[in-house]
Amino acid sequence: MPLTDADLDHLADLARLELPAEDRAGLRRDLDRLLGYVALLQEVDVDGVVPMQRPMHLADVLRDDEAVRPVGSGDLEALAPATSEGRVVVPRTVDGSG
Amino acid sequence: MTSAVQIAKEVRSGGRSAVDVVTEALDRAAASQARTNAFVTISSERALVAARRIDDVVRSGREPGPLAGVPVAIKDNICTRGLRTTAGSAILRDFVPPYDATVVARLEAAGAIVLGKTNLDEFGMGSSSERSASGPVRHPLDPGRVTGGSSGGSAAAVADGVVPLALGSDTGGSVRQPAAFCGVVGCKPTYGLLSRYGLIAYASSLDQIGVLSRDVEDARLALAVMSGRDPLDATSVDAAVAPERALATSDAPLAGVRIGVVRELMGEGVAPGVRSALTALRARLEGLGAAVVEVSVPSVRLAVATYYVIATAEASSNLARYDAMLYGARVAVAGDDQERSMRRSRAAGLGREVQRRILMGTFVLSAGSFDAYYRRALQVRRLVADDVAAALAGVDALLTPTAPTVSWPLGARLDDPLAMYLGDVTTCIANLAGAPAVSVPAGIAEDDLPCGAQFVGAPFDEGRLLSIAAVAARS
Repeated sequence: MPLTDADLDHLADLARLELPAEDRAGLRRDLDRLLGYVALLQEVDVDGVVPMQRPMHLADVLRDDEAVRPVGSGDLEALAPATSEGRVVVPRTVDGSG
Repeated sequence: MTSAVQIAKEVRSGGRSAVDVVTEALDRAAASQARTNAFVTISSERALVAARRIDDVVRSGREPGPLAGVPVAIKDNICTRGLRTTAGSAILRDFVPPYDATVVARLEAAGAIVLGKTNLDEFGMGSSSERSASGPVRHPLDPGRVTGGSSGGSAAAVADGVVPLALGSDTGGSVRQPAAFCGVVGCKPTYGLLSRYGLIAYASSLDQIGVLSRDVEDARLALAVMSGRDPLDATSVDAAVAPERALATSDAPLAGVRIGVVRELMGEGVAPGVRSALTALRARLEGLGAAVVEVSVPSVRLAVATYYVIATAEASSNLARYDAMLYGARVAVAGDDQERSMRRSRAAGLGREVQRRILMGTFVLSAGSFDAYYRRALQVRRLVADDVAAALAGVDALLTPTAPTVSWPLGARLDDPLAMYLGDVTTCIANLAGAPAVSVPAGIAEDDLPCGAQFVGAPFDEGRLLSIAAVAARS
């Protein structure tokens, strides 16, 4: 079933992407084609097959309890788009009127 | 071009200074850059400082390391402390990592010198190295063609003789396919052999750092230096790369070696010139003593679909971190609204192919699609991995074309993502299975361009795999 405009809006909302109007038709067409292709997986009998998350068995291994010097806060601050007095400045996250 | 092994030998003995080696490499980099756009950043100053330090170590009689003075290029999705790392994305155009990837730290500790950061498809998402915020990489032999990708800058830098050794990353073939297109060696080791700490993540259950080189033994040396468990990457394991195996040096160096040609990857869809090159290689391997048999990986027809469902799902999750709040290029919006700023910043900073993959991954993970797409793809992945293991059971290595075709003209597949994705069929089976794979030049195919032969081995069997590949490369 082809993706509707509403489907694309929902996906873009989940992915936090503001899609430019001129890209929407092309994206819908591409996604429809790709999803049509991967539909061939639906024909496979996977009854009882255990999903393979990663190609190796992993067991939890803890690091040695050694003191290390972490990346300094100044280095991290230098990466931020905006800072003030040692803090990262971000756009407003809560309504200031409350 | 002198090999890494040879350069290190000369620098270690004091016969040649690291400063000379690096100065020459920087000249070649500048000349190549004008034609190929292989680099995002050329780190002249950092390289010369490092070279002077190596020369001091040699003069003082201390141990300069097995890669002393060897200039290396690093794909720009691998973090380098103090050296801009963009991943080919506008959203990271000013990102200067405060730490080194473990592979970079280990290469430098072994005496290697970082010459620059190489161009790539944004976040490693592509098979042509055209989708970069720094513009497309051009093929060293024909500037009208693609290098393959996504490690196209690393492949071009090695093929153009700038460096003997470069790092790439390989999620579905991104080291091996550009190596094949450019006529060099490309090795994706076993999942877990190399630490991925500092690799900018695309699809974490598939991503592996790999090596591009002219010479198979250079790749072996680099892997040996970088391998070993890293406490900073829980998926890295304690495994070593065996030294060059003394294959019989007679005229039958492959006596006793069994090689399985994957039947499904030699038929329809493989260009005639590539197929003839592989057939000729097969005959040479037999002439060198190998027993070559046909094997089957029946689920290979499902591999690309499986790969793209899993890779896009993991990408949508991994790339959620690029919200331009703590780092990355932020777009300011009216009303100082954080959520809108994130949406705008992601739309402006991430390229179209990246957005397409994020949306596809979001779809296959979303309620109502998860079981039918993502969970099912993980199940089919096990079927593919089991088929690869079964095919390997009776042989030392599988043999396939590295890619179904040679390089194509710039722009030819940009508007057809499915055609671009289908070219990954030969390589992505190794990522799905976690197996090591190496591409070696297999001769000239269509349009007088190089093609590659891929050998796939059992997990952590790099030592033997590289020995077989070295004989094939010399044949």
